[in-house]
Amino acid sequence: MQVVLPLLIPLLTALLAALAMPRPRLQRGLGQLGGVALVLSALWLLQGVMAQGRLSVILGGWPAPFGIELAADPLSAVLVMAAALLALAVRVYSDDHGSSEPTRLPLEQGVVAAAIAITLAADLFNLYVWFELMLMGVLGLLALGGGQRAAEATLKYFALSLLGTLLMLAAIGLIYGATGHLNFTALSQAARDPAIAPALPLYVGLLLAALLLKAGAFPLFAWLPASYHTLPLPLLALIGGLLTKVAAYVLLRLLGDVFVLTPAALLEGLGWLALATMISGVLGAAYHWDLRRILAFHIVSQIGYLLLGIALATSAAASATAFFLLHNILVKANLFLIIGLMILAAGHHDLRRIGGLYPGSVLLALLFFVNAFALVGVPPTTGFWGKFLILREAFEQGRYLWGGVALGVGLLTLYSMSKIWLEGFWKAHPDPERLNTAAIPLGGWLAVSGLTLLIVLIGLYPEPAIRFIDAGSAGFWPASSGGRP
Amino acid sequence: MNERLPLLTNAAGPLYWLLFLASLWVLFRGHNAPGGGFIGGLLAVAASSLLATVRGVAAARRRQWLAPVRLAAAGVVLALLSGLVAPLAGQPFLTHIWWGGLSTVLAFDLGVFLAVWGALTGYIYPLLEEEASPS
Amino acid sequence: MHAGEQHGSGANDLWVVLIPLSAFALLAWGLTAYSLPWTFALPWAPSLGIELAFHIDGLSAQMLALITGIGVLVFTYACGYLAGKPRRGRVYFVLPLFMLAMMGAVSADDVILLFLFWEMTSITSFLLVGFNHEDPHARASARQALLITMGGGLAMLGGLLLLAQMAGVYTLSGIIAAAPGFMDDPRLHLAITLVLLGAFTKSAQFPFHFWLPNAMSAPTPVSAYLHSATMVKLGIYLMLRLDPAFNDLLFWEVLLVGTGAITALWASVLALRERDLKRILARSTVAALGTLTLLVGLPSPGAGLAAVAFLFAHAVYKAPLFMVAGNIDHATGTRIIDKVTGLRRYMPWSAAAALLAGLSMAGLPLAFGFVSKDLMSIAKSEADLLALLSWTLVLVNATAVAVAAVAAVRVFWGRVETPIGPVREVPWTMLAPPLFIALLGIEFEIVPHLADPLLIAAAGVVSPDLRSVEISASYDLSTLFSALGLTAGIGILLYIAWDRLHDRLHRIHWLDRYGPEATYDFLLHGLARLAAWHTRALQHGRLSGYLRLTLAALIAITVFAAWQGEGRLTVDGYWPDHAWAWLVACSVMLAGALSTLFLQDRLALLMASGLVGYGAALLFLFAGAPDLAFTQFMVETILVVVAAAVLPRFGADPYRAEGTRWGDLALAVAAGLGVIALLLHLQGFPVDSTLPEWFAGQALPAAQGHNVVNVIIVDFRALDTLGEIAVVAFSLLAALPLLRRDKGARDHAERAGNPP
Repeated sequence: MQVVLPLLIPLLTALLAALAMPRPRLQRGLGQLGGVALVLSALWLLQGVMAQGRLSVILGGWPAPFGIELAADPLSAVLVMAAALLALAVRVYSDDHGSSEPTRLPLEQGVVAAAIAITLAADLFNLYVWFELMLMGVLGLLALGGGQRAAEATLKYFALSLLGTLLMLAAIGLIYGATGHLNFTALSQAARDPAIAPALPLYVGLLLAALLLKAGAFPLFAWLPASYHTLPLPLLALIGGLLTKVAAYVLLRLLGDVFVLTPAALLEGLGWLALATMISGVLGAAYHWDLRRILAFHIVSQIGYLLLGIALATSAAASATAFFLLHNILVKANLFLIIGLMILAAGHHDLRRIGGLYPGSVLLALLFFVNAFALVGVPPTTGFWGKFLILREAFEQGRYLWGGVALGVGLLTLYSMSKIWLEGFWKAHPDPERLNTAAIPLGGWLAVSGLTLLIVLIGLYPEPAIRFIDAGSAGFWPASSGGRP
Repeated sequence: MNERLPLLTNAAGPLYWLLFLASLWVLFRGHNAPGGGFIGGLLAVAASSLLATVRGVAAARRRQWLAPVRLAAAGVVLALLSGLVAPLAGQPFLTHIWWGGLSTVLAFDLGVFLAVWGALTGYIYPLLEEEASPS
Repeated sequence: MHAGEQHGSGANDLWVVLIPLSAFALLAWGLTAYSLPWTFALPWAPSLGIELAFHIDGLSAQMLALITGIGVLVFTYACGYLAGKPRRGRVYFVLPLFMLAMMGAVSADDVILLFLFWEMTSITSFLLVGFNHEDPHARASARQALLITMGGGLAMLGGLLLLAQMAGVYTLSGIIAAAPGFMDDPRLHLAITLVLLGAFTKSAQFPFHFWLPNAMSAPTPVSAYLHSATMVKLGIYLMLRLDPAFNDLLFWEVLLVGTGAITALWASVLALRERDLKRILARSTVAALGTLTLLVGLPSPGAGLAAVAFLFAHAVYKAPLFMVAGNIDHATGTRIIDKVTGLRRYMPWSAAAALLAGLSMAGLPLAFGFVSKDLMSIAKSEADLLALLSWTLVLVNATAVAVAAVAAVRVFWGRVETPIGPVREVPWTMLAPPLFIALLGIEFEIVPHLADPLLIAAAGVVSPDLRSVEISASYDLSTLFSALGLTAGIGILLYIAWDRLHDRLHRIHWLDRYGPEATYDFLLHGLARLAAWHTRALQHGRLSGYLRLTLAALIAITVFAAWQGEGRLTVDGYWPDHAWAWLVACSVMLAGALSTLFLQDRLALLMASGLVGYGAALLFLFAGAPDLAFTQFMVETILVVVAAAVLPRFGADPYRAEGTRWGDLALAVAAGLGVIALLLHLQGFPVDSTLPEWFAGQALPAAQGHNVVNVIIVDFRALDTLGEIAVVAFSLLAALPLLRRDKGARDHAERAGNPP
């Protein structure tokens, strides 16, 4: 039950909220209850994994490779925790954020359930099912805005994302056809069978392509900036924090824990793709003046770091990637929440039309400052440790260029963050009457401050998190049969 | 449309019940013969759409106890809850429990049935409503 | 701030001085009570080998003394300078943070800790430089300083990490101790280059020097503290710190000496091009920093002592000069040296402070004796290059003398041509600090032995061989006075010719167009242009283009993956039982798919695509999956019927093809062929039927169902089903807003899919 609860709670919350649809107050109560319960269940899971190591359950009580398995090791437990905290923060933030559409809470919780299920799934087809659920949830949230822009964004997201979903299904079918298995453990054994192994690079490559699309890698990210910016902000935080991240997590899991014999050339290719993703994302961010678009492009750039960590393909790299993932979920989502507050206080999302927030609100300035530098990777924040761990492993492997680009992109990220600071905070507001920092509701402050506190605490003392994640990634890319030369 | 086809209008009521009963039959026999919640649900959708096309969406809505969206959600909830019986007895989620011929399997499949029925009619009704209203 | 606008002495804010004062007192007490070095470490990230390790030796102690000591005076000065200004509380918050960061940076032994404090100084300095943030120039300057120093910091992190990996430890002391072991490592030069990038950017070395004069848009206390006394010395500190490890390395020497000399000369020339007193001082600071870099790079042990002595002396004379420049600005509202002359009548105390600081600066060659002497002697014995360098130094110091004269003499004692209106002397909080530091400087010049213990302790860290050297012997009077005389002489000549030189230099416009600062601007604009080009090319807003690119990329990745795998396309001899039925089903699907290419009527198009679904259902039926077939039939029927009922709403105008897009056709054909190839590829490998066999065998006995398909759906893989019905239900939730009668939105969505 420990493993299943973090999936069931948001799913049930979503469904009950759908049943309670015309009544906003009932929905609100359900949302709060579900949010808190999810965090508690995630804590329970975390505690269980800390005490006993990997936990797993085969649903229906069937024997091992036949039933569907859900499993939690330290990596997935940490991510479940992050997702649960994020979901709660978004709830706390949204409750004070004016009225909302009745379908919003169900869809939002559906996305959370899907994201958590994806991190827990230990079965390839089951994984696909949850990706589908996520697609539906996000689609619905995109369409929420109504109006032409939302419809356009929804269509773009749907068309492009569906391509990835179909490809994923095809790849899973082929992998099943070749190995006869769907369970991760069984797959990883089958993948070592010399009669089957030669077939796999192609199919795994196909799956990789599908997941790269879902993760928003260069040049497959077109759907992301094309759709995200139309979302209402707290939802943008949720989706920006989770959606691409779980795809990256699945990549890590599949390449590092299941298909560990993936040819070195594929990983090498992934590494170069990672660099292109980093650079392309940050250039997109540098171009834009719309706060939401800037951050949407930074998602792409940060995905590049994750892919780089995966491409380095050692257990240390897996650890680094997982830590970065944890950091990125929290910080990216929090930055979205913060720009939400900025937009509330300054009255617009275009940097050219706002300003004056530094004299306007010290607290907001401080919160943005800390999170922006966390994104850049300045100590003592989680972002520093994430980047440092990846950089360290890149240098360890003699990948100086890869590490160098990662550092350089950090500088470009700084450029982009300094743009927000200069224009949004330092510049005087072009229309001072629209500047109203009192418009920020308490829930917003609470959610953002809570996440920031967490980011700073983990950053100040990262040892427990690092050690816990290390324990989880120790088995990734087992040295004896590593895919690297 | 219904003015033009009086025979169908009159037959629609009985036809609906016939189709709906067939859908239940398909649902219940599903565990042992071709059928099950998915197909049963689709048959029920066919029944409802027939009624909606001929007698109007409102008539079809009246024969579903819940609004389509909530019906669909209730179906998923039912399926989910059927899986939560086993954990009470210390077994994994979604382990099915049998009491003679009755089982949580049936509840699960009924959940599938309701979800399909609710969701698809939820798509179809608004489309038919829009088609009917001259806007 | 013009005359008459003054807001008192700011004495109410003086409590902030307690912060540096207590730090200074603590340091002084520590130095008397405990002998150096002080070392302590706390665990931080033990699984990475990273500790909260501090190591405070003579060099650190000297820096700490500077940071806290000058801190006391700068904080005092700031109270006067900022009196009455809005939001000065933020300066009082950030300035101590900066001080702490500086103290941490010079005490840290762990390289990660060093990086942390290093970046903290950059960040706090960003906030301080941008104090007047409503001024676009101040914003741009703050950002420039941030980008350059933090960019350098990131490079330094890479370098430190490499050093740590070569040494196997993350502490500076450990790296230095292990250095002889990795002198031949191929990574060494890369590591040193990266670390020096950090040091050079922080200490404003060529070609990164330009951020420092621009950062003069900071309030004067900030300039005095950060940009002359402390932060810009951090790079020098790091070089001094690492010097014992790389002292003998030619690469290190050449980089340091070369960069230092170029920086010093270049900055001296540029100082002559300025008219703004603060910027003149900033340029001369850069020159001093160049000199310091050069000194660190020199291999002789005496150079180390010279460097620490000069570092100390420079802080002591430059800080009061900055403060005086601030006083002038504060009192008259301008810092342009042509507008302010003869101020001694109005600002006698400022004039006195300036004079004392200027004298201290003129006495510089005393402290400099070490260098000159060493340089001369080395030049005699070794190479002409070093002789050239010593001349460089003389010129640079001469400019420093001229600058001192401008700041101390010209503005206060110069002839009054256009008398500036009556100005008031600044409050005592702005007078006491420069006077005090300047007096201190004079005291050290006259009685240099006062500072000796600290300086020698610091120099001993840089040049461990120095301990045996008798320091006092370095005060060799004859070389000393020749150096002094020469420097002072040229300096006075430069001062006299200042205006003429300025005019000449000012007219050389290519310096503005092609210098490093122009390069920075070019890069910044280039970045914006590149970003615009890149983003417009990739994110143009047309779905068809996105689809094309995405599909092409997916195909490319797959082809690349196929190239890495093995196996070939296999057509095995399997012939199904109802082969004719399979053929019929496939023909139906093909017919449906192909006819969509040619049909124009929307209803016919719909029917044709429905055919594909019915064909698939047929296929399922004959392949032994009646449940699946039935489901497919139902779905397809409902879809077609409902769509047919709804279709008229969209209008009956036929779909018009826009001609053949050959590129898209090629993509589509490639994708289709690719799928066929994948399936044929799969056929070359054996089939593992463990799962289906188990399901078939266990359905009845274990799951009590005859229909295996249903048992799989509701029992063996019930979670998939739960997920799928959730997907079905959520798809409806998702579609609800679109299903509402919002025709405008839907029409627009259609257009977005098929833009003109």
